[in-house]
Amino acid sequence: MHPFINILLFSIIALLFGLIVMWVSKRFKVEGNPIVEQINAILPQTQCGQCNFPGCKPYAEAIASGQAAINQCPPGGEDGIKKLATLLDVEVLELNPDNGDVKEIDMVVEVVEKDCIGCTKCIQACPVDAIVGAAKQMHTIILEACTGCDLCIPACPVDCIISIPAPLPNYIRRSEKPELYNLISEAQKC
Amino acid sequence: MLKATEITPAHLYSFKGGLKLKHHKRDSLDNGLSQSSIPDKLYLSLRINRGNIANPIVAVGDNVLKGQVIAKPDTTNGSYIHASSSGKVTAIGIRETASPNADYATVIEITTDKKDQWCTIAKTHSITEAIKSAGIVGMGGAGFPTHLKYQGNNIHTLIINGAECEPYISCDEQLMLDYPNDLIDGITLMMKAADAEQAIFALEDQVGGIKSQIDKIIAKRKIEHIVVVKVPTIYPAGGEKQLIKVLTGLEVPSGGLPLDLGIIVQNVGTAKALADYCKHGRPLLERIITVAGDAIGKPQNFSALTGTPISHLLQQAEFDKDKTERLVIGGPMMGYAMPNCDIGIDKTSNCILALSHENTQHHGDSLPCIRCGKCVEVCPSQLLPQQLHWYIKGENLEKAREHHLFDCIECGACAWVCPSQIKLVDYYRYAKSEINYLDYKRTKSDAAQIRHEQREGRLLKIKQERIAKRKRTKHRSKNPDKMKQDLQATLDRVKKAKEQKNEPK
Repeated sequence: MHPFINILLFSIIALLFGLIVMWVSKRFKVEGNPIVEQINAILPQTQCGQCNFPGCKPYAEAIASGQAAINQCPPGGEDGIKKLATLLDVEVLELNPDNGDVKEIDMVVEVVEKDCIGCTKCIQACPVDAIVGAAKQMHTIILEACTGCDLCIPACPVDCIISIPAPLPNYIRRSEKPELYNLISEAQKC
Repeated sequence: MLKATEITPAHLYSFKGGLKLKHHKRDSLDNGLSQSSIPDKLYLSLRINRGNIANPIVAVGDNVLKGQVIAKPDTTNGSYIHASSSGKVTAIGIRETASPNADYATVIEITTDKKDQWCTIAKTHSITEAIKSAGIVGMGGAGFPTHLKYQGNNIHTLIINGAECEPYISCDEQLMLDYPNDLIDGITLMMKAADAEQAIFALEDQVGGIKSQIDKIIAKRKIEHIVVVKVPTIYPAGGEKQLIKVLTGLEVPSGGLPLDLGIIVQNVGTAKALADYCKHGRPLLERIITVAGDAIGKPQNFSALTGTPISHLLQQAEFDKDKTERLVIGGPMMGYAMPNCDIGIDKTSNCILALSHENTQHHGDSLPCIRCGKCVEVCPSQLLPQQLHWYIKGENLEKAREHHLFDCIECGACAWVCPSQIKLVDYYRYAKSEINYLDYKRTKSDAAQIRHEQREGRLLKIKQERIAKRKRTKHRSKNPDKMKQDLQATLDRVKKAKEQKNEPK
């Protein structure tokens, strides 16, 4: 057989595969970085900016590109860090104290309505549109939508926004985890 | 479909696991049923067991009559609460209730006037409506709002659960002994409401002459399609899903309800409550409750108003305070320890147990799990209790959910046999509540994400519009000739307008 036939045959096969690869890359193109979405799903979506990024998504992007550590999210707490570490297969870190402390219970904010002057500054600060109001009218907060990010508190010129424990719907009741001793000696001591 | 008439003891099925327990029922049954006196104060909880909180419609200081509605539910998963005796509302506040962990809920306190004056009860037109306005909930213990069960179609079988399988509790047996006629009335009403073709009345084989008594009534009144069946006394044969398995061989699907099989299961107390309302116009204000345990001098069944404080019943049963180590609402297997005795009983409280030190099983602390597998053998839901415990201990709640944690009926059989005395059910209750909480948080954060993204999108759009506008004006200023023309045109227009104005002068 003429060597040219072989060369031609293989060139055709290579071209064919090339076309298939091209088609697949177009047909199944993934928009954006999928890991960002996965990280974002773990983050608590409070949009509080305590991580030094302007929201959860930018922080997720920074983690994905390696520009930020996984321990900068106080609302996510230890659990969040653990989940991120498992997802990214990195070591679990302590929460960075520079970013703030973990709150013991979920908090939301409330407007002290008699003090509100209707300046709309908190409305502009709220990242999740949880504040309703108009200029020179009293404002109020939709408690179910409030994430407790506290960004509106410094924005208020008359300090009429206060932090309160988040109300839970009445079908939710949290009970305490029972204690269990790991060693017989521990149990006997008590 | 299974024919109820074909069910004989030889044709019964069995469920996996379960325990044989001592009954301890004789003592309270021998002393019979007594009417409890009206207490000075009634504590009516607005949340029945796992249901939703009802909203109070009375205020402090209001006078209420017996049978008056004092709270209405705002969701379907709740029930009407009636004043169980006449008197004055003296407080509405958060108190401990006779529910798991003695949880806090809104409680209406009524100081009774001992006159027990009835209000007029409005008539209802359908049985389902009657169930709702009588405030009837499942009286076997879970407190599932009964009216929800009658919304399904294609119900073919009604199972009446008279198999109270937990030790000590004899309120159902007492009810069957004392009110068989009302019971049959209730069953016929329920069959009508559900449009069911047959009813199976299940009893435990250890109860004495109840079957023949009820058979006699059925024969005398010539009622068809009600069959009385005795089932073997194995704990927890009285569990809804287990009872269905024993009688029909069918299994309720994981995460499903008996309704999915076309079956409704009702406790005998629920049937009597319905008959009381439809025949005598009495809403659910009263229930039979067993007071027993070895710290009780005279164990017996009481017919007590809902909201009666535990202490009031204990006093009438000659209770020995010093001997009591633990006070439990419910049975020894599934009951909940109560922190004090000023808690009012609710529609689902079937038993008060005062147990002495010798009789409380968990006197020692829990020891590590040795994975002996005894809990697996007894679990009637065919779960892996030790594995669930393992996951929950390690806070791996998602794994626990995958291992069907929510199919656990909290019967307590696993904790009973555990050689390390691990309070397994407490773990499951904790994990269930925590998973529900985390799910709630998840939906909340998803909503926050959507709101944030929409806000970002809106702000971006506003910004882009502003930029586009600026570009338009910039384009104009770049073209001085056009600007001049525009200016001239405007000036001309103004001039013309002025002239027109001046003309009439």
